[in-house]
Order: sequence, then C-alpha cells, then structure tokens
Amino acid sequence: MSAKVPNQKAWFLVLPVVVLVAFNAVIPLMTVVNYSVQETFGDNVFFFEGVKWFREVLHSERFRLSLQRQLLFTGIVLAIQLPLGVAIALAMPRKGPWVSVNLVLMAMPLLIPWNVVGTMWNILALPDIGLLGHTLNAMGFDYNYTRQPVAAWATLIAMDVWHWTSLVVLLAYAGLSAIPDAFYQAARIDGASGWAVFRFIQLPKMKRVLTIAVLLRFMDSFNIYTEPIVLTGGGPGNATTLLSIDLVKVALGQFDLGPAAAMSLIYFLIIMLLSWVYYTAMTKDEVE
Amino acid sequence: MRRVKWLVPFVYILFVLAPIYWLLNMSFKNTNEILGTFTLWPRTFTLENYRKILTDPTWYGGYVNSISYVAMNTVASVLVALPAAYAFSRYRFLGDKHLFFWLLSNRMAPAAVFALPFFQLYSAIGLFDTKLAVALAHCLFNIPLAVWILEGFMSGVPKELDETAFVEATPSGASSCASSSPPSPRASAWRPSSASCSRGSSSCWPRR
Amino acid sequence: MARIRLENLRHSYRARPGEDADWALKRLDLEWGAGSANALLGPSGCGKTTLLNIISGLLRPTEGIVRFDEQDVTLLPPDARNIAQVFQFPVVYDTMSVYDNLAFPLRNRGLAGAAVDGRVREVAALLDLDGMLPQRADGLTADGKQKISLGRGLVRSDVNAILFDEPLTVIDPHLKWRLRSKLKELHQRLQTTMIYVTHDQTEALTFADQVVVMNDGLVVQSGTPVELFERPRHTFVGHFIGSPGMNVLPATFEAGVARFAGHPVEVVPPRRAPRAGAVLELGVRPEFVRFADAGIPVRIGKISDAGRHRVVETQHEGAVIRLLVDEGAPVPAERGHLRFDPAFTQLFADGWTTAGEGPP
Repeated sequence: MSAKVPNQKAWFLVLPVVVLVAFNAVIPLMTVVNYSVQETFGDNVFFFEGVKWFREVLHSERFRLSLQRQLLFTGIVLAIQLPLGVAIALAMPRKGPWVSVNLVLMAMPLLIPWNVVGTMWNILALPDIGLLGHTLNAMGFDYNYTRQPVAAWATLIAMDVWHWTSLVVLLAYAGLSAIPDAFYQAARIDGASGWAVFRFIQLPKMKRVLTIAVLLRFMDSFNIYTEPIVLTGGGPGNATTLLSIDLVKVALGQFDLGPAAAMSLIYFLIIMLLSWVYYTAMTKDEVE
Repeated sequence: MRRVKWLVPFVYILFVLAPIYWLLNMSFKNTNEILGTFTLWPRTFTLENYRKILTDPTWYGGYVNSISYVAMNTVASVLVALPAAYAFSRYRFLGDKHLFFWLLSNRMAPAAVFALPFFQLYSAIGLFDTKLAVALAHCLFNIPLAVWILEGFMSGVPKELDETAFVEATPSGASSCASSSPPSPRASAWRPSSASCSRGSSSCWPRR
Repeated sequence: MARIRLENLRHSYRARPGEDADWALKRLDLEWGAGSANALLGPSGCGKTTLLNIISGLLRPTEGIVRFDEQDVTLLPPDARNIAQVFQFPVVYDTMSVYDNLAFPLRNRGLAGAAVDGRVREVAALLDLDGMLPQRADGLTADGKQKISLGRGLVRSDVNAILFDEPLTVIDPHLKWRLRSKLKELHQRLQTTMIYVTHDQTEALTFADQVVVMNDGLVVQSGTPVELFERPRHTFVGHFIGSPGMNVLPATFEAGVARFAGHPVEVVPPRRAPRAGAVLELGVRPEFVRFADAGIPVRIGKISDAGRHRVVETQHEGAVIRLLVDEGAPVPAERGHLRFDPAFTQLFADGWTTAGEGPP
C-alpha cells in the first residue's frame, strides 16, 4: 500500500462525518451519562446521586438474569453459527456453473429487513397454522413457543441461525477463495489428508476472516433487539428478555431514567471490553 | 465424501428457502384459509392481499416512508463518507487512527442504549416523529460502516490514478470524484441495500 | 530419479476440441534422461505450465502417454508419482515450524521418527536451513520459504523428478542468483531429474543441459543451450534467445542462391527446398555479423554500449541489422559493409529453418 501523505487539512474532509456522528453519538451519550448519575422525581428537578444507579443495577436480580440470558444466547448462537458457516463454506463449489446460484441464495437471508425476519418466523412457528409449528406438533412434539420457554428459546435460536449463518458462510467463503490453488496442489503432492489440508492450510488462511466474523456476530447478537421483540416480545414472561429488550422496557416502558442510563453504560462497556479483549487476542501476533 | 459434498449447501439452502416459501404461500391465501386450515399451497389462490397493500394508504404509506428516509439517509451517508474515506485512505493527520476507531466503535453500540436519548434529542430539536429524524439517527450506524468499506475500496485504487487526474488539469474536486468513484460504485451500491435492511426494521425509531 | 518420456501428447482444455487453436498443447514427443537438468522456456501462455502439470499429474492429458522409466503413469495422481513440485510463490504451512514443514511429507507416508529426523536434518543442511529449523515457517523471507518448498520435495529420497514452476518469480533480484546457483549445485550433488519452467532465458540457459523452447502450445525446439543459440530451428527461437535477438531479414531464394535486397548471402545449405509461396527470411545473430570491406552496404545508426562490446544498429533498405563489435574495435562513421558468417546464417521458410528438419 502506498504511503499516506501527512496533511492536517484532511480534517476538513472528515469534518462532516465527525459532526453527524458526534451529533448522534456524543450528545445522546452525554445525556445518558448525565442521567446515570442523577435522580429525578419529576418536573425536571435533578439531584446528583453518584454511583447509586450503577450499584443498584449491578446488584439487581433483574439485570443479572437479563445478562445471563444474553450471554447464554450469544454463546449458543456463536457455537452454532461459526462451525456451521465454515462447514457450509467448505462444501460450496468454488468453480463451475453453480457458484453464483449458491452465493445469491446464500445471501438472501441477509437482505431481509430484520422485523420481517421476526414476523416471518413468528408466523412460521405458530403452533396450528405455521409450517414449522404445525409440522412439529403433527410429529408428536408438544410445541408452542408462545407458552413454553424452551420452545421460545429454540425458535429464537433457529431464527438467528437462519438469519445470520449466511454472513459467516459468505465471509468464510471469501477467505477460502483467496487461497491459491498451488497450496492444494502442494498438499496433494505431499500426501496430506483432507483433515490435514483443513487444519494446516484452510483454517490458518481463514483466520483473519473468521476473526471478523466472530467479532461481528458477537456484537450483533449481543445487541439484538428487533427480531426477538417481534418474535416473542420478550416472552413468555421473561424467558427471552435479552439485554436490549430489558433496557428498552426500563427506559421507555418505565421511564426510569437513572437506572436505564446506568444500565446502558454498563451494557456498552461490557461489549467494548469483550470486543477489545477478543480483538487484541486474535491479532496480537499479526504484523500490520 | 467428495461426491455428496454438494448435499451440505443444498440442504442448508432448502432451510433458507423454507420460511420464504411459507411467506409466499400465505401471501396468496385468503384469511379464512390461513386461519382455518393448514395447506402447503393455496387452495384458493388470491391476489387480494397484494391488491390491498398496494392500494390501501395505511399499508403503502409504510413503503413510502421507508423509501424516503432510506433515500435521505443513503444520500447523506455516502455524501459525507466519501470525502472522509478519501482522507483516511490517502492522508495521515493528527488523531486519524483514533478517529477511525471511534467511528467504528459506534457500530458496536447497542441500539437500545440510544432509544431514550434519541427520543429526547429529536424532541428537543423539534424533529420528533419525522422522517428526517430517522434518516439522521441512522447516520450513527451507517456512516462508520460506509467510511470503513469505502476506505477499503479506496485504498485499493492506486494513488497514481489520483495524481494523473490532478495533472490532467481538471478542477480538483471533479477529478477526485471522477477517478475515485468509478472503482467504487460497487461499494457505493452496497450501501443502500444494507441501509434499508436494518432501517426498514428498527421498530424503535418511527413512532407513527 | 527417473527417465521421463512423453509420447504423442496433446492437450486441450475444451471438451470437444476442433481446430488447432483449441489445443493448449499441440502434439509432442519428448524425452528427458534420468538425472538430467532440463528447462521449459517460453513466453507467458505458451503451455509450459500445462505441460508441467501433466508431468506432475495435476492434469490429465487429452491424448498421449506419460512414462516414468517405462512405467505408464498417465492416470496416476501426483502423490503416486513420487514427484516434487516447487511453485511460483512459496507454499509453506505457516503454522508449522521449518522442521515440521520438511517432515510433513515423510510423516504423511508413515515414516518412523528417527528416520524422519535424519532426513530432515540432511536436507536442511543441504539448503542452509539448519539454523532455522525450530522457527515458525511464516517468519522466513521469500527465498527462505522457497527453500522450504524445495526442501519438502527433496526430503523424499525416492523422488522421481523435481518440477519447478517459475520458482524465482517472487525472489528479490539480488537473491535470485544465489538461489539459482543453489539449484545448480543441488542438481550436481543429487543428480535428480529436474524440470525447470521459466520465461527467463538466462535462468533456463544457465541451469539446464537441455532446453525445450515452446510457443503457443508448440514445442519449437529442444536442444542444448549452444544448439539453440547457434542453430535456431525457428525464427522465434532466434528472437527469444539471446539479447539482442537474431536479425531476421526478408530474403529471396532462386537457383540455389539466397539473397537479401538483391545481394547474395551464403547460408547453411538448405536440406529441403522451401515450398512455393513460403515467406522467406534470413536469420543471423548479431554475434555472427562483421564489418568487412565488401558485402552488404549499410548506413550506421545507433551505437549502444553493452560493457564488453557494443551493439551497432545499421540499416539497409529499411531493414535493421544489428551486430556486436568488441570494445575498442573501430566502427565506420557513416557507411560500411557487412558480412554474415555462412556457418551461422540460415534461410527460414515460414519461420522454420531450411537447414534442418522443418515443422513437426
């Protein structure tokens, strides 16, 4: 890559972006920070409370449960989507007439608006008239995602897998396509088995791409809001109330500004911390 | 094993298509059939549903709203992101790495965190419940992504191309647009589609 | 090491090849002796990589037979042929150490630990890699990695042939000659059959005892570097080899006398008469052209200094003739006469020499 020229005037080019993003990011965040350390009893009167809200949130059973549910959800989803995505990418043809058909069909779930995804699965999983719901019940399972927590979780996870595995597939596929044929040829000549080819050639060469995939999937699944709220509304009861959903309930449902703000900051911090740790760990032996 | 490798993507694609097929199936049925019976294809095929969403204002109003604020957002995002991406790709300036990282970090912000603040912010500036507000709000997530992707593409355009354009005595603004943009239309085209997906779906923002 | 023979080989990438242009490799018969150093030389797209891949087994030829020491290996996969291939860019297993990289082919074949260790150290010493054995392979420079690629081929003691596909492409120029000498040294030491594909004539001519020149899927000439230089079979070989290339001048041939622009020129006696209507050309290398008192009258043009000699460009009736003049030897100021050495001047009909066999 050709060297960049030092030029402080470049700030003018960047200024519009900074203004727009800062307007949308900094002001709200300042608001949030503001609320997180104050208490109000209405009429726009505020009292400084320090870390009271933070302590309250961190000790609250409700927050802990939401966080647990969120971690469980993200954990399961990553554990399914990553190996599945890589496996599918490995099996997809890289040459020949079916390549483009595969890619287009694979990309479809990614193009669908998220609330449509939620609605689609909502209808699909309805116990009596949905394809999935009806089939499962006909096969003898007692399945009703609106009433059973386990069924709700299973449906939620199936929906997320349906929606986002394709992202992992496409990223892994791109990584695989970048491997020159010579590596496979050399491996053949060296007498390497299929497993050895995967372990010593494909996996190392996909490392960069997979790091991005994990990071993106982690962030998005940790932040997920639209799909579950449309699918289950957080229910039955609290069963699928993930962090985002809980936060919105507290903030806009109950209008508890203080706790909501504190929760927001803690939420944001958790993601940044985990992402940073993961990213540093993955790229520490890479020389940029 | 090599023979049946194609089975893996094939089965997965069937899984991908199943809900979409079900949606299509239902879109051609009337309400009675949907609620009453379970059929794999419409027994009473009807286009009534499509007619309804295309003629009933409460339905198609949604499309109009979406298209208008996606258009606004896309134009705004690409307009500001292009010069920024150019700057990141070609120049070094004070705080550039930190700025880039800050921009990207907004991508990992939970949308829920901004629900309340946006509510208050846009009320405060009198834009509450407008399409413009939605378009602006989505800049928070879209612009960083746009800058990231466009910067990647621009770094792929050799600097020499810019320099030739400048030397060929065109006004500098036009030349940089002309030379940086042709290799980037693919990048710019990608933006609207990803914008409209999460745009069209965030139930937080438009409070109709 | 094995003697390699290609019989009646032809290859097309199309399903149903029809005319000549559909064939990536036109019909050829080639033989390489056991333990010989050979080169496949030609411009990009001439089919040399295709030919190499057929020899290594990565490609199955449309027609013909490949033999290693009389055994028909045409249908055998690469790992069954016992060959080693070094590619254009280094192919190493990044996550493994240099040691493990070299040991990989042996371990895959189930060799015992002690035997593996012995072999690996032996080959590492041969390639000057012994100091780096415990290091991770991806930390090495390009030439180091190419040596690892080479090493993985050498580590198998029963290897039939080592095939090189433009292996010095990614190596820095000042390191190229080092690796080149290493390869030559290795050949002399191991006496393994080696086939080296390249588009660089210097690499080919300095490495190989036998060079096959290819163009457009056709084997144009196969011979020693000297043969190719002094007796090119086709004007293409004349152009491609040597710098500057051979002079090719329009000619006529009547009553057994070849003429250039009306002047009679003595050539190597044609063994066959050119067909009627053939395009006739005279070919003579600048090395074999001299100034003389009488001969073809020319106007002196540019003189370039090439170190120990100078390249003089002359003109006669629109044709450019180049010759080499030793440092210090006189060059006429404006006009002079040229004489072509008859032993090295050939008459070419449709590009093919009349002094030897014609087109295949």
